Amino acid sequence: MKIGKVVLLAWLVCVSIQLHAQRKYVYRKDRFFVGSFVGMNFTQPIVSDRYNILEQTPQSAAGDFEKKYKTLAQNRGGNYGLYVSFAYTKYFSLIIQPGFRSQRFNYMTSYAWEDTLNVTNINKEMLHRQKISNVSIPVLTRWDFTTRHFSPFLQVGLSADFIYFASKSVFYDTKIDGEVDRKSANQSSVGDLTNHMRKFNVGLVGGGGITYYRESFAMTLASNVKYGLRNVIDDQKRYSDFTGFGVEYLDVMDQFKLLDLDIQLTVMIPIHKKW
Amino acid sequence: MAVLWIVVGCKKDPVDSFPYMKIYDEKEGNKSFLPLSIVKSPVDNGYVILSSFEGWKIQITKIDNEGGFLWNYELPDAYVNAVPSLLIINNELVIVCMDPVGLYTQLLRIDETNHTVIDFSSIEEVLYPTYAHFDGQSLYIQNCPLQSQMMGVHRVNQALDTVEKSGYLNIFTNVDDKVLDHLTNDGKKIPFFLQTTPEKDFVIMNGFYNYSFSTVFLNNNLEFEGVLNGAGFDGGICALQPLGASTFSIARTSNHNLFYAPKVILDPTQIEMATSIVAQGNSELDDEKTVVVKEVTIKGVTYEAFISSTRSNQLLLCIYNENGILVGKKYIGKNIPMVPCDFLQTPEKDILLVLQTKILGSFNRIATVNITKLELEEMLP
Repeated sequence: MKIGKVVLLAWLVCVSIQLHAQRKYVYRKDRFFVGSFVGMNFTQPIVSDRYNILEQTPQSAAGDFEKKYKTLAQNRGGNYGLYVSFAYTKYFSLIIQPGFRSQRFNYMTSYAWEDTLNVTNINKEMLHRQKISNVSIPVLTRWDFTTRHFSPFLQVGLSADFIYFASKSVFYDTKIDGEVDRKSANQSSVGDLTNHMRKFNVGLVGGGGITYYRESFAMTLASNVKYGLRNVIDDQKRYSDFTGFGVEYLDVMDQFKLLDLDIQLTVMIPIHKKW
Repeated sequence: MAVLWIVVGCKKDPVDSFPYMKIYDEKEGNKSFLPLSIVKSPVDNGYVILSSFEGWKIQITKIDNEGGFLWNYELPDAYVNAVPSLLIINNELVIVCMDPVGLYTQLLRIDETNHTVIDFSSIEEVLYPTYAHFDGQSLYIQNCPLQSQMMGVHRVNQALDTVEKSGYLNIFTNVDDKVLDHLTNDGKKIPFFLQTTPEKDFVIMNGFYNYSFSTVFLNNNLEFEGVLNGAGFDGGICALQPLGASTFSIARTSNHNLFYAPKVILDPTQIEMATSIVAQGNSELDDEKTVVVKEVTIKGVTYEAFISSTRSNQLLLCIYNENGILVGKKYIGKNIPMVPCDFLQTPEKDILLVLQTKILGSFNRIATVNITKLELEEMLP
């Protein structure tokens, strides 16, 4: 009964908005919109080649040395920047969204050895947290489905990404259970990963959202998926060990591309074309 | 789309090789490994590493040309104390080691197909071998029998089964404790070596002689010709590369410092002090760790490469040109101790280094580091 009332109320709100919207059209053609956006992103490395410093031998303990990557939802970062669009027609716009984006991704490794002096096992489980900071310049084409106040849209384009800093830190404990509690675990220093990275990448971007237009401003809630087309790690510098974590934490980066899902809120104002 | 193709589709020129570092695992934490020598396999593109473990036991490890583990083999207890030079004789890999009971020298051939060794010769008159050198024609074995207070240099016949010529040098004092610690890897590794000059007119022996650790020049009859005396047992030459025409690259120690002389002319018939050789000191280097000196070729030019450990546990590769001038330095590693053991230049002109490092800061393991041709070229001005 309670759920039925909620559904009915939601339906009434939607119908009233729709009726209200159908009476109002927003003039967009030949208009610039400028604004800013803020949001969050979720990152997933798509691994193509795996690398290890520690080589397995027949005398190794059972198990493998492969990194266990955390899922998309566990790799959260943030993004913010400027928003500029120009509407060629009532439906079709060109968008540039230069901004700062911090991407995070995490993976786990674990190792075990027998201590024959103490007749015990020596375990080490490590959580590796990486952060990549980049300037991202997506250029998108956007198609609005309506010209009304509430206007859903789809957009697609390319993004040029410039990494200016990357870092990592390692949290570790002595129990191999698939979890490392960052509050109680030991922690490494913060290592500079920047020189292990290829500084430029280009990504395919696609997404959609909905914009609420008023005469004096507009707000957009949008989500995009970006897939980096170039490998992230510089193969020639993979083992250069700029972090100093190579032998200490038996760490070397895999080769991967980055898949990124973002959700962002944009506020913008219209500027009439004067020329 | 064109822009996308240009940005993404265009690829750099293919590179011959990639840099890497590999540590070869062993679940038994306290098992301690010490690499001794690395050579290119005569049968394929891989490399064979000779190492000791648990004191003087012997292991061989085969890796591919990207550092990947292929196989390893722990030799039976009947073979111990491999000398730190894996030899290629008649296109076969030969280990010179010792019988733990009879204490005489044994020669083993590595069978890479069946991942084992074949015992093909025993040289019973050479006890306690410390080094072996094959100059392309003759096999020389250095030894230091306990209680004898003498060091020996022996030339083995072409069949590799008997000694055809021997030379002995008096130490005049007992060095048994030092030699035993060296053989069992239970103390400081003594930089024993044998070399021959490119003209093959001198055999150079680094070992104990006349109350000191000295570098002795012997003629083809293995008779004494000259010596660079060390400062007792705590200073002397620790690595040497003969360049021909009485020119040498040497590393020497004195007063707990390490000195490099990348190009020095020495008279093999003189009696001099090794510590008086003009050399450049480098206070960040650890004089207690192994130093390796070899010729390398970069962009078709021959250079002298010195690899050693710093006191802060990094490796330091120094490249000197033909005039003995330092032209490039590269630090390798950070935080964790690394000790160089041997290196070679690969057919791709990379430097492949075998070293001892520690995992968890505790367990000694074999590791390899590949420094690519590109990295070497970038080191040069």
